[in-house]
Amino acid sequence: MFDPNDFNGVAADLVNGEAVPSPACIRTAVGRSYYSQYGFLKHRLEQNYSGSFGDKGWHSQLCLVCSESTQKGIRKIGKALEHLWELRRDADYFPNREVTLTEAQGAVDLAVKCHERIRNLGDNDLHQIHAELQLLIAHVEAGTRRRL
Amino acid sequence: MTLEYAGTSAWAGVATAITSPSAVPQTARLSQTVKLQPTAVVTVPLRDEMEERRRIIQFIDALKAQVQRMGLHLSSTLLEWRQYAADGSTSDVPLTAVVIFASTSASREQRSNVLSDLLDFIAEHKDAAVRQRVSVRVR
Repeated sequence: MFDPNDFNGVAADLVNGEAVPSPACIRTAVGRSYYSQYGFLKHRLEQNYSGSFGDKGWHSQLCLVCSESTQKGIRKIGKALEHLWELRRDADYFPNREVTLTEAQGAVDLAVKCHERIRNLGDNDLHQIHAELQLLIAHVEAGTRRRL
Repeated sequence: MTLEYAGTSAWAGVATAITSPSAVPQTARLSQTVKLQPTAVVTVPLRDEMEERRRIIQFIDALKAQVQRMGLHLSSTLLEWRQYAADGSTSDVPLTAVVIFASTSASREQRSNVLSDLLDFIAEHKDAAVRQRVSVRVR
């Protein structure tokens, strides 16, 4: 099975060289750093709770659930994910917003630290994230049904 | 550096580089020292309510203490921002505070640690209303 953490290795290769990377490389790198940790956390959750994401990504919902957790350790993961997600959003969808090499290198290093924290999540932590994510998904889907 | 709309074909160049390993630098240099003066940019979108302003001012005070504990000092920008918020003269404008290293250069490791520490500090902040509105950029 593919390990999403390998994405961060690609990001590191893009921004760690001697030469200054192109803006396209910098923007690609921040996206890979984000997906490395989003994918890793999603994988850990789905190991315990198969199919918990359904066929959607629930990116902002996962960031929100983690960054607003009652547990500090999970909130730290959430703020890191949120930071990577915001950089990735600017990089891919807002060409006029600046994304610097320093930010891309910071994203690679942050993803390394975030990986350690996600790896150390226990079953109780994963249960809390899963339960709150399911509540939020149900809320979003109920809102969508009301609008239809 | 920004990628203009007219230049989005540059994505194709990245794809080529990734699929041609010889074109991609393979050596990770995580401890490489970069001769830049790094800054950490903290953005808090402000709303009108006085209560929110009061909370954000409290957060800035806490941030200032945290930054000083990290061996950094604040630029005048942060103080201006604090006064601006206290005056109640702002509306929805996202305001930016800049934290500058006391030294003239810092390593990538130092910059990455600042980013990580500030994110942790925000995550540990007790006020959820402030936590939700704060983001950090290290440039």
